Formats: sequence, structure tokens, C-alpha cells
Amino acid sequence: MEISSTENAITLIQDQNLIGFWDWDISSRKKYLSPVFKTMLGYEDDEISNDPDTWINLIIKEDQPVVINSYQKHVSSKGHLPYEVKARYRHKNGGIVHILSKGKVTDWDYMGNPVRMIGYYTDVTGIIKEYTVLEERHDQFKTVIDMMNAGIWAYDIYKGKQYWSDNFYNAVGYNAGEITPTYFNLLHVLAHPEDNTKLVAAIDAQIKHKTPYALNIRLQNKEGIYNWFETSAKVSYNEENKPTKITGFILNKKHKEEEAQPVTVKQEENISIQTEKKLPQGNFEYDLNRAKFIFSKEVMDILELPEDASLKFDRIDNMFTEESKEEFQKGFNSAVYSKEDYEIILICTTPEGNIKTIKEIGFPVIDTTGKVTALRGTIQELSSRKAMPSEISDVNYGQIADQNKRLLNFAHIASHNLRSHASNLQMILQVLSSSQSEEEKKFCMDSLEKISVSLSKSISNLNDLMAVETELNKTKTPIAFKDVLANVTGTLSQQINDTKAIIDSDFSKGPVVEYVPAYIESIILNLVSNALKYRHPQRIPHIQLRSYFENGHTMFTIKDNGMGIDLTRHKDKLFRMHQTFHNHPDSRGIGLLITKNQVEAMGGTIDVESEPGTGTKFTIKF
Amino acid sequence: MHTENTRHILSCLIDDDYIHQFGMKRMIQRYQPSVGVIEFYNGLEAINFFKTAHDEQSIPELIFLDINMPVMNGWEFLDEFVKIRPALHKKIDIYILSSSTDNHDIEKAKSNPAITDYIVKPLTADSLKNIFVTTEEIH
Repeated sequence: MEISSTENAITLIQDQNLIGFWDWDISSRKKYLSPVFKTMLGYEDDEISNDPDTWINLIIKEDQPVVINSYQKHVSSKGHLPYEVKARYRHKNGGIVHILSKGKVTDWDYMGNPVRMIGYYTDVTGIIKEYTVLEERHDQFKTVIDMMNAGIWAYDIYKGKQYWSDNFYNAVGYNAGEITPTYFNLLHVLAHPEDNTKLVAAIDAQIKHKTPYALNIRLQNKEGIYNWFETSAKVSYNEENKPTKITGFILNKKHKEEEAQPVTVKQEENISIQTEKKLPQGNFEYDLNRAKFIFSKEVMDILELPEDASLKFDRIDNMFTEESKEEFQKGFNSAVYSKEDYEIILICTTPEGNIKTIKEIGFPVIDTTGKVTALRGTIQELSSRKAMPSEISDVNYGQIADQNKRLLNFAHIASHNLRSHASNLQMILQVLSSSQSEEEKKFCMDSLEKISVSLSKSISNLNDLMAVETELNKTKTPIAFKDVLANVTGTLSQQINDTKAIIDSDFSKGPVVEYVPAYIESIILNLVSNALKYRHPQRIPHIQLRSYFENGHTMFTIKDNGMGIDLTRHKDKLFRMHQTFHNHPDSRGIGLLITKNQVEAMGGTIDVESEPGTGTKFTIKF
Repeated sequence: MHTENTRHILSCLIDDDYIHQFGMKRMIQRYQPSVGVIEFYNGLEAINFFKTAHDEQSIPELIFLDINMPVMNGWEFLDEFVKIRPALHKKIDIYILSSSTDNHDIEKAKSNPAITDYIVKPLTADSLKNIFVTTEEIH
């Protein structure tokens, strides 16, 4: 009874042409194919033979390997992996029939080889067709989305993968693939810094509380221009009610942002409750070729840099602690060599003396040849506090120490200079008051006049020296060495003519320096006039000026064939006040000190090589 | 170089400042007419003199030494001077007379046993007298 009902059921299924059975006697290479299977393909039962070769040839060529592969896996796993394969079969009328085949080896020989395998076929063409309909619908949706000009983005929470539709790329002005679709890039590169916190908060609220949102945000296109977009997203949840995926769209608002404003404000209010206190944040870019940063206004404010601050790598890097410098190097390496995004926490001391902890998120900018040309990303201030004196960074400390040294030196110079005149005055007056001889009185009067002249000269020297300190904040401009030298030779034309000096210059390897114009002229004037003043008595002065570029610095050298200086004896005092090494009436003993101050105040160095009787060479690193 | 070696104490001025030299010379002549003065305008001139001076009479008992001078400054002069000093067979007091108030200079002078004292310019008539009193007591 039971058997018969089962048979009935099977017959029913067979009659409905739903399932076709097969029974494959592997050893005898016989394969029974039920009439239903043959019907599925439009054949009568006796129209096709039952041998496996016939069967395999019914499968379209492309799908044959899939079927064989699945069978082999089933056999080699001794039946653990199921035989289940969907393949396309050729219908008698030439059409395609999608058939799902499931089967199982039921008998194995003592060697473990399969002997018999049975299974069934199901025609799944209908299901596949339905799927195709779905695809069509999807296409329709897609067309509608295209017409709306909406860009779609999706974020797979588990895989951490972001997907951006072609329209999304179009909307933000990039070609597909030109910018990696990452959550990071969306939030930190495309989104306006003022908008990304509210976007993060909105997405967060959607994930955690299913709060729906529609925000107006600004996204930056490739040209750096921000456009308004309406954006919304929805989270998909799995069976366990865990969020799996966020799908959202962006819709270009064109110029509609004004109308939408009231709504946005309300949204923002809602969100700001959930957002923590907003931290200052801005964008940065680091140009690898020029070793220079570009900071947005916000970053300049965070780092408390003046508008005209130098953004060269060294200058910026020097604000950071040693650990932070290393940290940045790591981030830099991962961006440049592994082409990966990085996120680092850095500590710096600002020029205002505040210690700031900042978060830098960066990614590499890769050109068409695959080379990293720049780093780009955001800088966010996490905390800020006034630096304790003991915490002033080494560099700042170094700068302050340098400045202190210069000021102390200045104080000594001032005191020494004025004191020597004052003591002379005192002494001469003392002599004068008790002098009996007219001749001596006259000598005293002459001396007083000389003292007053040298006193005013000293004061003017001190002014020159002090000017270096006070003019530090003067703006730097690019200056051509050629022009500076022209001015200098103009000023010194008399001396140059008198001494028949030969001045030869080559500035081709570093024609321009960014400097305070008055300084550079004073530096070169001083060095050239020194070279003329301390010329060799038996030689026509020959002065060579060169400039070139080395390790990111502009270098300047001036070499003469003059008297030279015995550096073993004088080097440490060369740049000090009132150090004159030649018994020369014109020696003021202050020129080199001013020059040194003018170089060092701007962060440069000056060095000297010399041999008595041969000549002197000064090298300046700007 | 100018010498007046008939007096029984001889002083030596080493300073590149002509006006200072003149004033010092006049003050010494006024307050200590018995003291002779020899003048040098830098350390090298002075050291050359001491290297060649073998007549005990021509060697000064007192040196007023400036620090900042061209060619050879006060410190360099001292470095050279201590080398030849034993050959001079005479007690010589050295006073640094400088307008430098740099602590570095003062400390350096105080720690040098060859230096009797460090005097910041100008030298007053009173301290000049005291120096000569001390010098005369010793010699």
C-alpha cells in the first residue's frame, strides 16, 4: 500500500514533467534516463540512446566542464560533497533548457570506485526566466535612477567594502575607478569637512536606531569644487537583525540648496544631539615632488601657523615630537610604498606654544602611471593645551636657545661697545680736567670728537644688528641672485674699479632664493666687500660667486683669492663682534656677525674655509 | 713702542684703542710719575717684544691687557706669554683691562693663575693707585 502510494506520487511527478530520474550504472557505462528528462528536451523516449556519451553531448559545451567537475568532486570526496549542478541543455528545437541535476553514488566497489549513481533532473528554466525578469526590473530601476541622476553607494559592513555606481562617480566628477570607493574617501575626501561629522552621525543613527535621514551635504569634485547633494541611506539587516549593508544614494541638488535649507537645519539639530562636540578639522595635501604641504584654512588654524608660514616639509616636521616624526614616516611609507590609507595620532607644538594632539588620516594620490605623487587627507585636532616650559619641543627649544644666544651676544656687544666709548670719555675728561698744557688740551678735544664719532658709528652698527632680530617677520619673496649681485656691484662700483677686481658669477644651478630682500642684499654686499677689503696685496682680486640647489636647500658660495684667515686660530671667533684678524684700518669687526645673524635668523647656516695667503670661501645654506 | 725706562717700575699697556692708550698713559704719568709706560697695539707686538727683551731693566712689572684686539687678542697673548714667562726671571702682574662684562671672559680670567685681576674699563684713578701700591709692596 505504502509502496503503491509512493509509486503514485512518483508517477504524478513524472506526469507533470517536473522531475526526470536517471540511474547510471557506471561499470557498464549504461545510463538510464527517464522519459521525462527526454521530454524536457523535446525528445521521445526512443529517440535518444541511454549511453553517457549521448547524455553529455546534450549539455552545451561551456557547461560540460562544470558538470564533470561536480561529479569528480562528489566521487573524490567519497560522496561527502553533494553532486548538484545546474547546466544548460540543448533542446531538440535548438533552444536552451536550464536543468538542475542532483545525484548521489549509491554503490562503491571494494577499491572505493563508484559503481552506481542515481539522481534526478529538474527543469529550472522557469526560475531562471523569473530571475531574468528581475534583472530586467533591475534595469528599469537603474534607468529611472539614471534619469534622476542619482549616484548609488553601498557599504558592506562585514566585508568593509564600498561600492559606488558609475553615476556616483559622474556626480562627483570622477571617472569610475579614479578614486577608490572607500568609506574613508567618501567621508574624508569627498565630503566637506563641515558636513562629514553630520553624515557620520546620520549613518551611525541609521545603523543603531534605524533613524531615517535625508541630508544635504557638500561633496568635492575632482577640481576641488563643492556641490550640494541630497543623500539618504538605508541599512539592510540579516535574519539575526544585525546590520549587514548600507545602501544609499546621492542626488545632485544643483542650485536647490536654498529651498532645502530649513529642512537641513532641522536635521542638523537632531543629529548634533547625537554627535559629540565638533572638533576642528581640515584638509591637507603633501606634494612629494616639492616636499611641501598644502593646508586648508582649518588646518592652518589648528597648527596656529601664520598665513605666510613656510609649509616645507622640514619646517612642518620640526613642529612634531620625535615619536610623531617616526609615526608620520610610517604613515608616509604605507601610503607611498604600499599605497594604503593610514591613520595616525601626532603631537606637535605650535608656534603659539600650544601642545596639540592631532589625528591625521591620509591616503596616496596615484597618477596614471601608478606613481604616488601626493598624500591627501584630513587633520583633526583632538586636544590642545598650553605647553609647560619643560615641554617645549627640542626644536622650539633650539630656536629659542638660538635666539637667546643671539640676544645675549647682542647685549654683550652693546655693553662692550658702549662701555669702551664711555670709559674713553671718562678717561679723557679726567685728563682734560687736570691738564695744564694747551697741547694736551687740544689733543683731548680731538679725542673727544673722535670718541663721539665712533660712538655714533657703534650705535648705528648696533642698530644694524638689532634690525636683523626685529625684521625677522618680514615677508620672504623669491629673489634672483643675478639682480642682487647687480645692486651690490653698483654699490661697490668705486672699490671694484679701484681694485680692478674680477667678479665672476654663475647662478644657473639655483637662480632664485626665497628670502627677505634686504637681508640677501646685505649678506652678499658684506661678503663681496670683505673679499675686496681683504684682498691680497700682490694680486688682483678674483671673486667667484655660485649658487646651486642641494638637498632641498639653496646654497650660495663666494670664493676669493685674498689674504685668507688662519682658521685654526680664529674660526670660533670669526663671526663674533669686534673680531678683526687683520691689522686693517677699515676693519669694523661687525660685518660677519651681522651676516651670520641674517643667515641664522632665517634658519640657514654659514660656513667658512680659508687658507692664509690663498683665499677664503664662504658657503651659505639658506 | 715707547719706553721711559729710567723709573723703577715699568708698566706695559696692550690695547688696540689709541684713545684708551693715551688716557691711560696720561693718568699713569699724573698719579704715578715714577712709573714708566711701554705701549703695544695688539698681542703680537707685545709678545714679540717679550721674546726679544733680555735686559731685566726693560721688562715691565705690570701688564694692562685688553682682550678684544685684532691680529692677536688678549687670550692668545696669554697663551704665548706663559710659555716665555719663565725665561724672563721676573715677577710680572697681569691685569686684564677690558670693557667686556661677559661672564665667560670674567670667569676665564679669574680661573687663570697668571692673571692678577680682571678690571672692567674704565680704570679709575683710585684703583690705579691701589694697583701701584700693591705692585710696589711686592717688588
